[in-house]
Amino acid sequence: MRRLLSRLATSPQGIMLATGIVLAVLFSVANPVFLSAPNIVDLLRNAIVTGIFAIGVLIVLASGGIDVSFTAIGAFALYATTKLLIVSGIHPPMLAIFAIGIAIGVALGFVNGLLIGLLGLPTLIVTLATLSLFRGALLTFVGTLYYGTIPAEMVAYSRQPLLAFHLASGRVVQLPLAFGNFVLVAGFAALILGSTMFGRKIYALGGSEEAAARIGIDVRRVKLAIFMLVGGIAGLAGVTHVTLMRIANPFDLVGSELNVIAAVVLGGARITGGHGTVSGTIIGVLVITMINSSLLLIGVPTYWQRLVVGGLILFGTGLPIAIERFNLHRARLRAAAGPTVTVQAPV
Amino acid sequence: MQREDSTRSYLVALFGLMVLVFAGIGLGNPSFVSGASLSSMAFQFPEFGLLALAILPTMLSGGIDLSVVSIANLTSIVAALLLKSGHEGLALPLALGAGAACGVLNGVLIGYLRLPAILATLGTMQVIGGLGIVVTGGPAVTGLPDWYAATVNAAPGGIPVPLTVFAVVLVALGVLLRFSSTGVQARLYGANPIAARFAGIPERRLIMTIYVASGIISALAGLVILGHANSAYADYGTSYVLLVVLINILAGVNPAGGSGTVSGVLLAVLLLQFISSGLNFLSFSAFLRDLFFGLLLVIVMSLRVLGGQFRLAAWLARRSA
Repeated sequence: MRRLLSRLATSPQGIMLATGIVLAVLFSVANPVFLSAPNIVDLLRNAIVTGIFAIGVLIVLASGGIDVSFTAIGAFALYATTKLLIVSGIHPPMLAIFAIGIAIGVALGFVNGLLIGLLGLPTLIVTLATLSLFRGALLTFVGTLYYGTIPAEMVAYSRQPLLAFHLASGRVVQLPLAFGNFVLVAGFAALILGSTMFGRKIYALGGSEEAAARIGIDVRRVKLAIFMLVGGIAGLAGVTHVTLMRIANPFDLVGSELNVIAAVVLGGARITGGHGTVSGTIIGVLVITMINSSLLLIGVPTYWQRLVVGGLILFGTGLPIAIERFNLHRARLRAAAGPTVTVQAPV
Repeated sequence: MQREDSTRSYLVALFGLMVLVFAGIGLGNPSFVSGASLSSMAFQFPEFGLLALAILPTMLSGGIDLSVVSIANLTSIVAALLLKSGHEGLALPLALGAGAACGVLNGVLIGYLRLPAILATLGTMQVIGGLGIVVTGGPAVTGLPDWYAATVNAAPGGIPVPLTVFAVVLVALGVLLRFSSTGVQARLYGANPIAARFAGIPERRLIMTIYVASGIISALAGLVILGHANSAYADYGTSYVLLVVLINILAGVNPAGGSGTVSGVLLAVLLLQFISSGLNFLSFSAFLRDLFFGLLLVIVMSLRVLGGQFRLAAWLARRSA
């Protein structure tokens, strides 16, 4: 029990899981509505787009980089795809629509990948620049007016439920099919990160780029592939966003990049690279979404949201570091007392 | 202390680019060079210029401060509430104090708890911004005494007050970073923290000083913003965060730490102001500005890397020989 507790407390995702459970219990005690089907469905629905973005961010963080351009890629894909369909008047199946969005995302991710992989520029600089670049290009060349009516295929898709609950009142609550996108992306990322050579290379790169290069990993190619993959994921998130909102607004999404990164970091991915899991990221996204959408339910005004989320970031990432240092300190004291254990000094 | 050889030539190139952009827009629309237009620009850029200066010392030391905009907003709220309630004498010192306190919070998290700077300030960005929202309940604080906006928007002797504030901070920070031991230590720490530790640099005190300075400069930015907007809003200018990081990188500040100058920041701030006002004067879409900023950064960084890889100067010398 103690070991389980200490393991929970020494990893951010452990703290997040514990916080999540405590909050969920608190919420449901304070207001039973929290556990009702409509509220939970609503929560899951709100987590979809953030969740898909977060999986992309996780992959970049695991590889030791950082990406702030994904929201601009998502916005570009969502608006360009919708405009393309409306202006051209074609009616492809929904699968093809997603493919268009993903293709746009991959193309923009390719730009990131070229600059980062080929030229070896730092990821923060490149994605900061392309955040501005992609957004500027979208609003200058593609358009600024939002579409209030989106193509019929998207509307039809948005009405399809993944799960439907029939309430006693006769109302039907639906979890949209788009939630499947989140599940698919998460599963796909878990597969790549956990069971492929490419995934191993991503973590290796995040652990030490120099070491990765020395064991024969083509760092440039892996980076190019990572940013194309992440671009594609952002493109999918963008199109998914349209189907959930049922409008295509080019001003959406951009501005939320740091919040998504916060969710991923809370899920245990280290900003210094080499660490991070899909399950942790999902926990991070769900807890943040829960705080953002449920504080009101227990009578806490919405304006406490940011303070709570910020406090959680500091607590969730600070506590494991503090505990690690405390343990190291204790081990060092023990080593000083009896020379049986040798401890490497931290660098 | 010319640590990085490319810094000076980069600054010269940046200056050339700035002059070129200025001249180009001036030729396109001569009224761009008029006194009215220059004065309006001089009122605009100190706002994000101060925020850019606030981030500079943190990036120089290998960190970053994402909380500058939140700090600026919180200080402007503190100042606004005090001004409104009649405690006019307290407004300025308490606002600056609030900025310094936010800096202390960052300094404790980064220097003492050893959180990565990007993570700590990502958290404090939310906490400090959240504090502003909690204090105000959401809406902007309005109804300030008239004299405040009148003072900030005045231009005694033709020089706008915000510009004076910016210039004073620029020179003070420049002197501090270049000639004081703290400045040298910050650069050394940014270039190589382990070497800095072994050289006996008081690490914690250094980090605390840097982030408190950043907090105080952010507070000054907040006071300027308060005068411009004539109101204090917890969510003001959230898009500024990444913009001011971009300015610093364009200014030649190494994001990994160790090099960067206030003159670079001045040039980058002016360049971006010229581009943004210029596009306005040439009646282009306002969003073209974002496109240009991004493109400029990509081109500048690519050229720096390619120039470094191919040793442009040596290559040119060989060709001409």
